[in-house]
Amino acid sequence: MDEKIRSDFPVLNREGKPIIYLDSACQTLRPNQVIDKINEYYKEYPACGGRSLHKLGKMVDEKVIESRKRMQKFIGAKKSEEVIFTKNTTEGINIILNSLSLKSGDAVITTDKEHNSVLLPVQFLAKRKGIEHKITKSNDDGTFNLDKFQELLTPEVKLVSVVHTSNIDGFTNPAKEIVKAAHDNGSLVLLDGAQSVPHKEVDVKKLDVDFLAFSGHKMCGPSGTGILYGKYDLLKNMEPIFVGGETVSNSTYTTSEMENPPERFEPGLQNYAGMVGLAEAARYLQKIGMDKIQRHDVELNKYLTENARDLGLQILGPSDPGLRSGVFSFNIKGLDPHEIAIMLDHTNNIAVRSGMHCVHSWFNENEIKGSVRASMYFYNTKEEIETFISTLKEIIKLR
Amino acid sequence: MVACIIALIVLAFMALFSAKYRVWFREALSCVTRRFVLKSCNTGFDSKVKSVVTAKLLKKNVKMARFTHKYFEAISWIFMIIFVVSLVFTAYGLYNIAVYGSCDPQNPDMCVLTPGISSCSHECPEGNCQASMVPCDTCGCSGEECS
Repeated sequence: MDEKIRSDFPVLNREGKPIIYLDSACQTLRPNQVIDKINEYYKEYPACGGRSLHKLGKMVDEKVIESRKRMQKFIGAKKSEEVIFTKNTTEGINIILNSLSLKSGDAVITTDKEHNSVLLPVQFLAKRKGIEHKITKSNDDGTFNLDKFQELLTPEVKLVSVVHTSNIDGFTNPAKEIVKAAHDNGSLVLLDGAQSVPHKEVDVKKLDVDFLAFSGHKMCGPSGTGILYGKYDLLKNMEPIFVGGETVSNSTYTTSEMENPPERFEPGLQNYAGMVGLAEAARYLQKIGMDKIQRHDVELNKYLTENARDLGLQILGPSDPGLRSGVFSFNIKGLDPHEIAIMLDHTNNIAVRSGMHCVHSWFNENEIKGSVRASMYFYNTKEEIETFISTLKEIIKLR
Repeated sequence: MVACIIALIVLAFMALFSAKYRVWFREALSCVTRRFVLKSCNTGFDSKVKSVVTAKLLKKNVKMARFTHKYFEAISWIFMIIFVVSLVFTAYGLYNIAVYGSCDPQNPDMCVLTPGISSCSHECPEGNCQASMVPCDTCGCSGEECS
């Protein structure tokens, strides 16, 4: 990636000691183009959408329609009505899990590496509705075990909710095979695309996935934005969990007529600035090219893995960096992950994440205290990776 | 634990002047109170302090950083003891000031803090001293002019 791309990101060009941002799996940086689009809303058409007939209101409507279409193209959805704006992946997942009419005796399968945003809603459903929660175990190297998964597929399984790319180790589960096996069993599939959609081309039609949820803040978009995709026929038959303004076409004191998707699932005044900002982020990524982004992530991860080979790091996930996307999760024997993260920050302004990355269940099960996670994106460079490695070498001397 | 106590005292003072330190103060306070009731410090504050100090040293001297990282608890205890001893001496000094003032008992003319009595009668530049032994500021002379 060239310097021109880096110049789009104000944080990377600030005065003083440069920041090496390796925490993009948590939240990416935002380019000027996205920031400008957000400002544009507040400066030029800061009005309500979907309600007001004045010029500004109409302008908001047009921008929302454009943004929805942009997101539809970004994930390859059939129609824009299948794209629901949410505030993040967690909200999207909660909407699906609670809007499907799951009942006692039904079962939901998840993997053993699910983020709390999937695990907790499923746990709550198990407690409240008595659904069965089945967990499919990964192989020792973190890869997906399709045989074990298929063994769990029984007629009771109504939904398979799986993480597409793991935020622990960057491994991408074989979504197409999972979807096919689940559909053969008559089960629906919800894909957590928080870590996959920003880093590679994810086409919902090609995958034939029923639902997909992802966040804007992990793909250069504004905080508090996300997308929930759902096949239209499925969405049309689902009851929303949040209702209110704009989710109904009419109401009396005792009845209401629900709107069609996507409005049905977008209650109250929406985050219009966020919507246009997110669409701009999608446009920005597409302009660079999702293939190019994916290649760059993997290339950096390979470079990092090869050059860190002699450091004796305990790397989580597959040994092949080509299978770990832009995620490099590791531990140093004798040092606490949080200590390493703080020291990286205070020595060379290197921002990484440490801890259990909201996947406490997997770490607890494997009796690992946590890990340091360096996550790379298209704006990172080999020079930054070299600084990261040399700083790690210094930190390792503390043992 | 010891690092948390020291940090708590230092941060309590710094928190008076800056909101930035109030967050850390709260973390230190939580850590200390939990440890007093035999619970583990769940904010990771002690670990944060250790890492920040080690990182600063790491940029200057790796050996010193390694030593600090390895013996951080012991070093914290040393600082704690120094702190407590200093506190005792400070309290003793304050008690003496309160009881005896800041004048030298052997030489009552020599006062460090409280206004002293100086023989400035013959050196008063304006010649407006009313008595032979008056405080300096009474006659307008000060500092080295007074003996």
